[in-house]
Amino acid sequence: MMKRVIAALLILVLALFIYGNLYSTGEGKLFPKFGNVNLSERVSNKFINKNANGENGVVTYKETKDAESGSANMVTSIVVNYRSFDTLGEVTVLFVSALGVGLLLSGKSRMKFKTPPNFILKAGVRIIAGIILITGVYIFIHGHLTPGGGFPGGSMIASAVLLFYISDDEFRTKVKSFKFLEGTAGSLYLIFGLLGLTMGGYFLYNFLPTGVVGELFSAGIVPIIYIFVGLKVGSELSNLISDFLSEEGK
Amino acid sequence: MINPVLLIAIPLLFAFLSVMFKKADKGLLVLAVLFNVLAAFLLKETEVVIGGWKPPFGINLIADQYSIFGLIILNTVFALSVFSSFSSVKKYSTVLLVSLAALNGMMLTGDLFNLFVFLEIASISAYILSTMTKKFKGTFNYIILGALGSNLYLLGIIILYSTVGTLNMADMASKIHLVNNNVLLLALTFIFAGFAVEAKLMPFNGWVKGVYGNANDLSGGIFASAYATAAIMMFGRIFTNIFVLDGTLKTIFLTITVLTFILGEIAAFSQKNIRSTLAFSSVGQAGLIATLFLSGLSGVAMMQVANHALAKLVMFTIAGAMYVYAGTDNIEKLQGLFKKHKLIGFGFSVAALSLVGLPIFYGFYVKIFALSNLFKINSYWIPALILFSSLIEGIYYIRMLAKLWNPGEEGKESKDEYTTKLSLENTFAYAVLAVVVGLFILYISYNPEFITQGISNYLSNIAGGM
Repeated sequence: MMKRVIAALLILVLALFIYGNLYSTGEGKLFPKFGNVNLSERVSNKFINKNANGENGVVTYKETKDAESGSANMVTSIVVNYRSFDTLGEVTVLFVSALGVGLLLSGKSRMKFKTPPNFILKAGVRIIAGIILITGVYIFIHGHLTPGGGFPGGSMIASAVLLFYISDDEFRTKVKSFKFLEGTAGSLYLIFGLLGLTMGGYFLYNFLPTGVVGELFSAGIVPIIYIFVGLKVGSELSNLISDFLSEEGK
Repeated sequence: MINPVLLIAIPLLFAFLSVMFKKADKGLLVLAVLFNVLAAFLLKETEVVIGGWKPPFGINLIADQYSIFGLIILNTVFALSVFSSFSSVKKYSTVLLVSLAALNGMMLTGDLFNLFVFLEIASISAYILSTMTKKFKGTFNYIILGALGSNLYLLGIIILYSTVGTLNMADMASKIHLVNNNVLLLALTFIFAGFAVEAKLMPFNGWVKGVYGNANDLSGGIFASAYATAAIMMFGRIFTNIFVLDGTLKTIFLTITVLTFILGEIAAFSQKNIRSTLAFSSVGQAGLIATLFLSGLSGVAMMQVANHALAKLVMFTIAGAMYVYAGTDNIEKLQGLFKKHKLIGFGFSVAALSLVGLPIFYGFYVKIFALSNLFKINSYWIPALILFSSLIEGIYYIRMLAKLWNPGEEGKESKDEYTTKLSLENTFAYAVLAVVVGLFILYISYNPEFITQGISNYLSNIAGGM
């Protein structure tokens, strides 16, 4: 009881501390209110106008050719082009977390559910899973054009695998082949980065032509990288599911 | 010339490859570790840009004297730890490769968010490494606190980013004076709290005993030397190069770090196991180094980082090995151990005495340097408290050494059951490590310039730059 009171008091003090300081008024730059950001003095302005390396005029959809970052999706151009190194790190975060789960939880046999899957679930999954898989692949292939990308696309693939798992008591993924896919995709991401280092002089340099903004074959290595990310995330999360649904013994 | 990005890319590439080729994973680990040591020594001062986007917009890696110094220590202790405890690597080689990449990335990066990413990778690898001895309670505490710390750090940089609009460290340092004082106070508190978890500073170090105190030879060596080095060097980078503190905030942070030193040493004094003593001693040392950084004595702090990394590497590896092979690391039960294994004893004693700062050892040189500099900047209570806690540190280390060298009370070797389990074959690698590092510490005790040279280059560059 005493502990909870103290915890509640601490949270209250912390909340007052945050609120009081974050929305303070006075000299100097303040924490901007929602919607009141002055974009022109921020780095993100250059990401939006695609002119971090110099002026290049207004970017128009389906018209601008050879922009410095050819991705029509602004978020993708930041995530996979301007700050691709962070994405490599995030991919590694997922990789090492999945690895840890595998080290701690991986078992020999498949965990059985208490209630066996019924007919409706089985029949439904057969129809839905294919659609989910294709949508997942579509999302990460079009990551540079439409909202989405490697991470959501990969998660959708893994959700299809999860459906297979809950609809079939005997189903087990081929963990080894998924591991191989995971390793291949990760290595290829890094090898593309190193290729950029040898061809352009910078790690993760976009060494392919960026094409016309808005077309499927544009943005240079961005869609290629996103395909690797999608495959990697998909196989990692699938392995994660199979690790969680396995048990020791027997 | 070596591109610093290779220090991150090669271990990471080998980590991905080691998942594909399971049988070759240990070979890949050895290759990557050797490559990184070599590359760290060959690295020249440079600044590289990732992806071809110039700094405030893209991510850059900074290899100045500060990070090169850190990288050399980090990669050397990592390599020594992996090679001397190679039998404990087992299934963990991929995790070790990832953590090597992440620690190098932490030392090199010039971007605040990129630092968060590497911090996250490094701490997740640390959670996994801490499960090596199957003491999951400590790991769980570590995960909760580590996640809290990373999130607080992230929150801090989010506040700064939305206020200033940049994430690049150099750009941030040039714009930080524009920020409102209250907002800055909030952001810096969060960033400090976030770093305090990894750097083991006071209110956030509850995980240390559970993780360090249950480490085996490999994870102990890596946590106490490589991880501690990277975390405290990053702390130094953030709070001396980017955010220069002054006023009340500096006093508060200094109070926290000095208290960490004192309370860490007092807690270490009351421990009965070697590993938990060393764990709290690590906490104390982190407090000492952070105090030196915050007082503006980067050079001395870097010297103490080197001293601490080398000393803790030997001591933690040996303590972990005792736990693995003898089944215990209780000081009472291991009495007289070093009399049987004199080489290990030599390395351990040199390391401990150098850490305490006894005359003729390297640590003495560092501590004298630190104290005289602290007196120069007109503060009396900090050096007085440092002296006081060094005294406590000296007492418990010498008490520990006396027990470990001295077999029982009446001269009879009564506690054979534990000490004989450490056979010659088992301890060969540890003995080599102990002798090599012990001799190196003795060498730098007589030639302190060997390490100081890099530091003075760094400091002179800073003075020239300003």
